[in-house]
Amino acid sequence: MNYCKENESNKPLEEAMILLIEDDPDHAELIIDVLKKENIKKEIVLLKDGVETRDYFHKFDLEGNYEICSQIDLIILDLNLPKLSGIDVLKFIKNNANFSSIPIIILSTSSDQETIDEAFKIGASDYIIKPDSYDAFVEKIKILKEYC
Amino acid sequence: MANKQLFLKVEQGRDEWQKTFDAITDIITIHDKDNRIIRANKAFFEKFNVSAEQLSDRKCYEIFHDIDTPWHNCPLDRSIKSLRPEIEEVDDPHMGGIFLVSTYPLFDEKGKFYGVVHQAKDITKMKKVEREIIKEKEYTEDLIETAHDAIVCVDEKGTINVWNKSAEIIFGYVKSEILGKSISTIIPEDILDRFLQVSKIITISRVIEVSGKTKDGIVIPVEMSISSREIEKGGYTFTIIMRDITFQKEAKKQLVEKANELRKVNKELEDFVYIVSHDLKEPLFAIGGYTSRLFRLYEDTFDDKGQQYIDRIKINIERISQKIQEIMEVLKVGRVAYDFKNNDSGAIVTDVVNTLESKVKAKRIKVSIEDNLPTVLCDEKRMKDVFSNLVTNAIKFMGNDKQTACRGRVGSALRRSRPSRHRLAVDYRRHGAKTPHGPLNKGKYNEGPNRESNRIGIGCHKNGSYYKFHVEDTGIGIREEYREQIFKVFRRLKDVETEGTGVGLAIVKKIVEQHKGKIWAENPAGNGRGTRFCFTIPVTKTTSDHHDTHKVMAGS
Repeated sequence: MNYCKENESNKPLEEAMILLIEDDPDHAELIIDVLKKENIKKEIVLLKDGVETRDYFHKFDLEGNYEICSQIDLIILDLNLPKLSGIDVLKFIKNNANFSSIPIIILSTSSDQETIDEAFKIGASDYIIKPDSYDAFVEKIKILKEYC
Repeated sequence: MANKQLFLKVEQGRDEWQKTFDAITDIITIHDKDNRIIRANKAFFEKFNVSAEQLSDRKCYEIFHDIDTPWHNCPLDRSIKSLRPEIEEVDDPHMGGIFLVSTYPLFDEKGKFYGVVHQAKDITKMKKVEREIIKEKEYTEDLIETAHDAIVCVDEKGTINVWNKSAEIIFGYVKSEILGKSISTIIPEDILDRFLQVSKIITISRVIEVSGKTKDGIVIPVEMSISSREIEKGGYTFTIIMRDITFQKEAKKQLVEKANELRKVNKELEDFVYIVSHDLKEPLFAIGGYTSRLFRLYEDTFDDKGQQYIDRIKINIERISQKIQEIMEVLKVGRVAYDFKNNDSGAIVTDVVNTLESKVKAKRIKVSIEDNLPTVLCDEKRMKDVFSNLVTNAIKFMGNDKQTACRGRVGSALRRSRPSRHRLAVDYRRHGAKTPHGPLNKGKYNEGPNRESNRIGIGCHKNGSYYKFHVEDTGIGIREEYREQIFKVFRRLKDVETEGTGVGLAIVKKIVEQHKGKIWAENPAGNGRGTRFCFTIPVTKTTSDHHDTHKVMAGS
């Protein structure tokens, strides 16, 4: 968990970072593990549900501090989130002009074509289906490198 | 002279009278007061074969009835007593039939009664016809009365004049209450008026559904048909046949409700399975991930046994995820919306076969596609899935490739033991007797294989209201006991493991069913080798005209 910094403070972060929105701690750990293996040396901020994510961005809005947004290289978003769904989170971010330029990659077990189509329509940059095989997943996650 | 002339005139009159008397076919006799015949016409003598001389010795009943006492209801005797004309129907075998006997008393110039004219008219034939008519009428009435349907007759004003037992049971009115009343008592008038008008011209052969009203005021659904009959002077009489369909309606309603309920429950179940399957993927992903991590981190400390266990875990994770994926795929086929359009099935098949070209070539399989495949109303993508699955299946089990065709339990459970190449060659010749000339056959798929090559044939027959497509192979066939099971997803997953084919056929079946068709597997050669998958797609109005001239290849 060296690379993972939980959303513990509101002080501006210096380095570029990746926002990982994932409710399943096991999945979060594994994703971070793979990112690490792929030498993506960014700070990773983990948000555990939709509401937490919304609050995270709201804070910037309240403070009028959008500088930090430029530091977020990438958002990795799970769709199956409690409280506020991943699709709603996606809409929320993409509909806010201050954050909408941040690329968002969907990482989900859902392979429904309708869900995939909807995600792209709202503005997702990519959609990775969590494959059932971990090794295949490692291959897939390499796509993320393009965004970093 | 005057007397002579008078005499001649009387003679002439007498002669004319006698001739007239004899010319009448009815038996006419004149009797005295003592039942003796004093005169008789020719018809009498012919009938009873007696001479005029014999008459004075015998009583009339002896001749007419061959009895010693007068006939029990003889009108002659009545006339003798009443001195008035009498009439009676006499049925006496001795007379050889039924006679209408009329008697007229005779009086002399002084008004004194002296005899009776007795006229017997043979009405046997008339009576026979009459009896037949009565019998016929009784039979008809009986039929009407015992019919299970209510039979009611009305005149042009709608007044009821026939009412049978079933009508009484259905509507509650007994005959005496309803006869003479209007039909609107039991059937709403507006509907009936309309029908009485139409029925004058044509008989309504089709059955219509109307609401009837019983004596208790209960409204019941009734099936009704009306026929009309012209009676004298251009009038009409109408026969209305009705059936109480309360039970049928209720049963139908219940059936629809049950079907809807079943559909709903089924949908819920499918949704549930889908969600559960989906949810299972999440922990599975974690298990797979941690297993990989575990192995990577502690690779050095694992011995061979440890390595082997890790491998087994990975393989089993793979299997579970495969199954989940398959379940979800099958369910998805029924969940997604279908885009039904008119598509050229020939183009779909060609496209599918082209996609599978490398596999076909690798196995040296000859693929023939019939010309003029029809345009059908279908979802293009799904129809491609159907053909893709069937052709892939055929390729897989073509039997040329030992590793694929007889791998694992597939060979033992599903497929018959592999025939020799020689047997296959024989099979091929049978199938290939008529050379198919599909576009693919002329070109790329023909090169390479010799006469012993395997063959996949794709074609279609139009059969009444549906198209019957087929994909057949010369492979090793499917045992009869498995020909139905191969389409069952859950059954198959459990009982007849068929590695490699996945749930393809279950998906194919579902897609075909979504197209309102059926699918089955046949063994065209009848000897267990080779499989023909057939499925149907209904012919729709928009597609039928495209394909009327379609010629089906005999070789398939």
